[in-house]
Amino acid sequence: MSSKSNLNNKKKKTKGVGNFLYDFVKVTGSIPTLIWMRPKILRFGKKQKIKGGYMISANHCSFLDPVMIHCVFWTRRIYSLATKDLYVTPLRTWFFNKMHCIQVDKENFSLNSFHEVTRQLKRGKVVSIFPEGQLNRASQEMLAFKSGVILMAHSARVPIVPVYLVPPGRWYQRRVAVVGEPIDVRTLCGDMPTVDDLNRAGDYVHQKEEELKAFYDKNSKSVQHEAAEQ
Amino acid sequence: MALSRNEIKEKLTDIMKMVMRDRMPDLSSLDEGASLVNDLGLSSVGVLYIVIAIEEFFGIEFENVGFGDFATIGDVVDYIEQNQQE
Repeated sequence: MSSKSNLNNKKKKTKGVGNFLYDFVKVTGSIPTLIWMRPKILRFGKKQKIKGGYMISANHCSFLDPVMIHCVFWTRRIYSLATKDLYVTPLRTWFFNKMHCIQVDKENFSLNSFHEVTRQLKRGKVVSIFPEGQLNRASQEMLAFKSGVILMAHSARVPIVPVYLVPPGRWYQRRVAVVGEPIDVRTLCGDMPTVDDLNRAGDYVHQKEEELKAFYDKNSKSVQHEAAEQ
Repeated sequence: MALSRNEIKEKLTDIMKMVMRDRMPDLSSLDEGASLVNDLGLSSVGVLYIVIAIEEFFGIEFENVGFGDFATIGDVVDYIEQNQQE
C-alpha cells in the first residue's frame, strides 16, 4: 500500500517537473514572441470557454505556427504533434517530450501516436494539430484536410476548435489568428460513422476554416490599420 | 476462447461492413492477399478506422505497429490471431 502511494507521489513529482520546464520555456519564450510577433486574436462567432479536452485544428503556413498557437491559447498547456525527424538525439527526444510533443512518423503512421493523442484528449488536455499534414508556405490556399483528425476527436469525444492562422507577410509584421466556434464531431457524423462520414466531417472543418479566412479578408483592412497604429 | 482464422475473418467482414457501409466490396471473392488500399479502396483513415474498430471488437491493442505493416487482409488476420486474448 505504502509502496503504491510512494510510486504515485514519484509520478506526481515527475509530472510536476515536466510541467515546470514546459511552463518555464513557455513563459520565457513568450517575451520575445510577444515583442516580435505581437499576436492578434480575432473571434468569429461567440467566444466559448471549453472545460476539459479539445482539439485545435489550424492551417500550417509558417514554422512558427506552434508558437503562435501557444500564444493564442495562452491559459492551456498544449500538446503538439512533432515529426519523427526532429527526434534525432537523446537530448532532443527528452526536450520534445518535456515540451508535450507527441512523436509522429509521417511515412508509417504509428498507432501509438493515435493512442497518445486520444489519451491526452480524454485526460482533458488540449492537442493542436495541423490537418494539412505539412507546412504549406507556397500557396495562400489551404490544402485538403486529413480526416484522421476527425477520427481522433471522435474517438476521444472532444470538440474541434478551428483556427485560421494568417500567413506571415514581412518578418516584422504582426501575426493574426482567427478563432472559430467549437465543432462537435459527434453531432456531425453520429456515433457510428462510416469512412465517408469522416471525410465529409473533414471537409466541413476545412470549410469552417475557409470561412475564418474569408472573415479575416473582409476585416483585414481594419486589422492592418490597427496594426500600423501600434 | 481464441477464435479460429475463419471466425476472425467473419468478424472482420462485419467491421468492414460497418466502416464502409455504402462502398462495401464483396469480401467473399477476396482472398487474404487482397490489398486493403488497392482492392478494397480504403484510404489511410479507413485503415486507421478499421484498426480502431478491431481494437474495440477484439479487445486487443495494436502496439508498435504502423499502417505500413498492414498491407493485406491476411496481415490484419495474422495480427489478430497472434494477439487475441485467450
